[in-house]
Amino acid sequence: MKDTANLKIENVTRKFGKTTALNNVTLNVEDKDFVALLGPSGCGKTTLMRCIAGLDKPDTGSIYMDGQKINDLPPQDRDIALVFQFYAVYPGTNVFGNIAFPLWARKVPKDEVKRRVTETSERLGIGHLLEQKMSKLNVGEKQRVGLARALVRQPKMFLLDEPLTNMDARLRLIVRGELKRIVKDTGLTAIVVSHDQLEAMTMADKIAVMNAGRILQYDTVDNVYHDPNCLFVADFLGSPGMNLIPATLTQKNEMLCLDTGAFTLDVSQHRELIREKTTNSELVLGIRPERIRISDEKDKDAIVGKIDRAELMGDKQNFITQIANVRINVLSPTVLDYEDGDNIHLRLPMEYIHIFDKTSEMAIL
Amino acid sequence: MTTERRSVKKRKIDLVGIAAYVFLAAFTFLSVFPWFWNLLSSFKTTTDIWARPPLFIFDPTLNNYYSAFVTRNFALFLKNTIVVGLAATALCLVIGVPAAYAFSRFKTFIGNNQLFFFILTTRMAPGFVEIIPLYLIFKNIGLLGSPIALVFAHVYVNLAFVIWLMKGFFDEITVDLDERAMIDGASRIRAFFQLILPLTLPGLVTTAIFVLIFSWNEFLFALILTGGLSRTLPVAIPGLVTPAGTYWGEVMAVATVITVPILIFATAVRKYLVRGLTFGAVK
Amino acid sequence: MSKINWARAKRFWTPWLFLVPTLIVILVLDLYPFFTIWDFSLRSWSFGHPESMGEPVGLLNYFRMMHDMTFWDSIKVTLTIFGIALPVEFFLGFFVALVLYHKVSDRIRKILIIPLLIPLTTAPVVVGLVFKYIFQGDFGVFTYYANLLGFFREGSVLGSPNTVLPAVTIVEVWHWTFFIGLILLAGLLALPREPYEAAAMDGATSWMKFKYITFPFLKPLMGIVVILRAMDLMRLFDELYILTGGGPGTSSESLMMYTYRTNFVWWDFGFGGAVSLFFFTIILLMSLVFFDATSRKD
Repeated sequence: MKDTANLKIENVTRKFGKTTALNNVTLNVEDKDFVALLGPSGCGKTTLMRCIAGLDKPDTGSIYMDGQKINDLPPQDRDIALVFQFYAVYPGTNVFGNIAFPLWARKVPKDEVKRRVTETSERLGIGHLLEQKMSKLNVGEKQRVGLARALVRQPKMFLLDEPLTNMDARLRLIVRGELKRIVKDTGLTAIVVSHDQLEAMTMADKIAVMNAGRILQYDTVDNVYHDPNCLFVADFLGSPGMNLIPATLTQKNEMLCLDTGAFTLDVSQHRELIREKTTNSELVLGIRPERIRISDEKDKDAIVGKIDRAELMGDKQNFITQIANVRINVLSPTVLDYEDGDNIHLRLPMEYIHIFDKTSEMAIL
Repeated sequence: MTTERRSVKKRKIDLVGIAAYVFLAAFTFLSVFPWFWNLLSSFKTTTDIWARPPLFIFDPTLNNYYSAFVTRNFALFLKNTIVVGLAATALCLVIGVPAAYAFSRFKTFIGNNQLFFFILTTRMAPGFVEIIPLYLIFKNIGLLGSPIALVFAHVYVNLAFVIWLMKGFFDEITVDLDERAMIDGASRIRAFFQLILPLTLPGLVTTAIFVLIFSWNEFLFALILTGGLSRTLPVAIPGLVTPAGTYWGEVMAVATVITVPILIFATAVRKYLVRGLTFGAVK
Repeated sequence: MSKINWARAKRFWTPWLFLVPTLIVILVLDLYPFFTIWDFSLRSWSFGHPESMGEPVGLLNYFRMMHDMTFWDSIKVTLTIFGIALPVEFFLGFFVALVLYHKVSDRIRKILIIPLLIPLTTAPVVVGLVFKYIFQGDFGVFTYYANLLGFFREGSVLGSPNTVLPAVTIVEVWHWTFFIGLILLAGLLALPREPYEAAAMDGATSWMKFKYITFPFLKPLMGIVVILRAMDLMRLFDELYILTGGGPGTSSESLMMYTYRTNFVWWDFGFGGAVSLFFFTIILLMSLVFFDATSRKD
């Protein structure tokens, strides 16, 4: 019943007056992929989505779906369904009408409309609300109506515009899981737009991190998280984000070291790699808070820092630690017995170290 | 809306579109023509006015203007109109704006809705309910012919509208701002004058515009409360329609003077006009 | 101790300070007149019969009112104009708003509003006079061209009881249609974008978009604008007075004009008072509906 739905975006540029919203963007979405377009406000993710949907048109470049160029195809002919951020409710009818709307537009016969609407709404758990007026629904229910309206069309592709942004934390968790399940069950290709990295990482298979109209990195969730290719991506993902410490590359005797001003790290083993990738000696050292190992005072090689404040995050604990003039986050998987002002001994394992060129912001390691 | 237009790239003749443009053109023409004809006629001599077929091309003259404004004293009436208009506007704002603020902020304190509603119904009443006693009051005080009486009447009629409109504008400014000022030590009154009021400047302008236009054009109260030398333009004009015949030329001249300033004024501030007309409605 | 009292006193009285001027105005210009009129209507206040001035006569004035044919005629006139002008103004106004919204670019729209504002901002007196001029029996523009086309051989369109009401209605419509148009236009401009985009994606026709999105969103606004115009139409006076003075005879006398006549032409404040109060009640009822409509949105 459903054939393949892959999307190819090639060199798409879109400008609004002086601002370039999309700058030569290329993206490939395979069939059945669940992709997240992640980035801060103004990065272009919404513009890109609108171009895919047909609500906006690229100035240059092409968009292909299943090999067919869809640049000039109107939105309703693209077989793409869009779930809007603010639900885009039709005030002139009840829940049933809102879901049935796309079917009415296509002149689907009455009994089939009824069948499909009932089926879809049951599946989303809102079957009992069909007679209700839209104004009587709460946020979660409205969102589901929007979903149902998108699904009832049995589209090839599914676009979601910041679906969880308007929800409270509890509801967000529930709906997140549901969305993932629905997309999996229906086998649809889906693209979700979000500014929340947690949302993107938990829902999607692949993430395209965007900033200032460009896609910085497009890879699986794992790779984007563990192997960021630039400072921005490293910084954007993770909660709390990666610790990024400016450091200078220095030669100490025979060792190549990164000097942060608070401590030094021997990076001699990566000498070749570093030399190959950059001639700059101003670099940035990165390590994720959860990768820093906490040892004890017996460890002579450990870096000593002073705990500024300890934040409780569920069953984890984040220590905001000060080492000379450097401030970092240290995430411990369990709650430890430290107090503010205590010394804490840390080790930075080499396998989790990231190095970035300060000027180009590209990853070296 | 742009997406709609983009997808309709068919080559058929857009009948509906053409009909719409024709309609719009006709509507605009009809809206303008009477005024245009008015303007034109104000420069005609009496003979030209009486000409059949009606003349569109003729020798213009300023006689009518001279005759009306100098000979017949319409300049005085113009002055009255301006004075009353400005006074009514100023007074309305001075009285109404604080009240609007009170209604916006002190919600639980006063029997808010009832009082507000009550004040608004006054706007709804036909002029007569107030006019008769007012007429008698002013008669007794001896203010009957004076413009002051009219100013009061205009203030009265517009007060409710001013309060309604300004309350809406005040509502748009959150109470947090007030409270912040008061925490910083300012009294409520001070906060009002120095902080909140300037923020509502567009609202004040809009309201003032409406009151001014209303007062300028107003007829009924002016008819009853003024007479002789204290008349405003709208009331004086029918005086040109005598049993002996109507001095159409002068009528047109005065009509133009009544209309054109308001039109220019309205054009300059039409952004505010639109905002105000719709404000109470499109919340 | 005294410090606390001072602060609390200020807090208590400040709101009233803001309201005092308004309250004075309302008291003097509203309540007092209202009760005075009420009193008048129950007495014989006719300056025409000075001998019985001030004598209470119970509901006599009201009975007179009910039995006066001219009174009922004036109601009929008012309702006729009302019944035709309101729907015409509404549909024309809405249509203009739609055309201005859908078919015209932003820049042109801003320019076009100027000429369209002319009828709205013109003083009712002027409207009356200009149209009287246009409809004038001998040289009026309208009369001349109408004659050419074969209508109205008998002088001014305003001079015949059969044609005076339609003529007056046309003037009314000319004057106020864009009031409705402008407000609805603003309503259209304020419509949210999202539902329309969703509808575009769903493949909806223009009609569907109108029926399920535009119209439901505009309904409250339409209601308000209709009621506002309705109340104004009931109180129609200025233009009528100038255009026809109620004539020929009383065939174009609105209720408001009738009230004017009883009060300020006959100087019968007792009778006039009764009529005024009757009128007031009607308008009051209408304004109640108005407030119900506006407050329901909160």
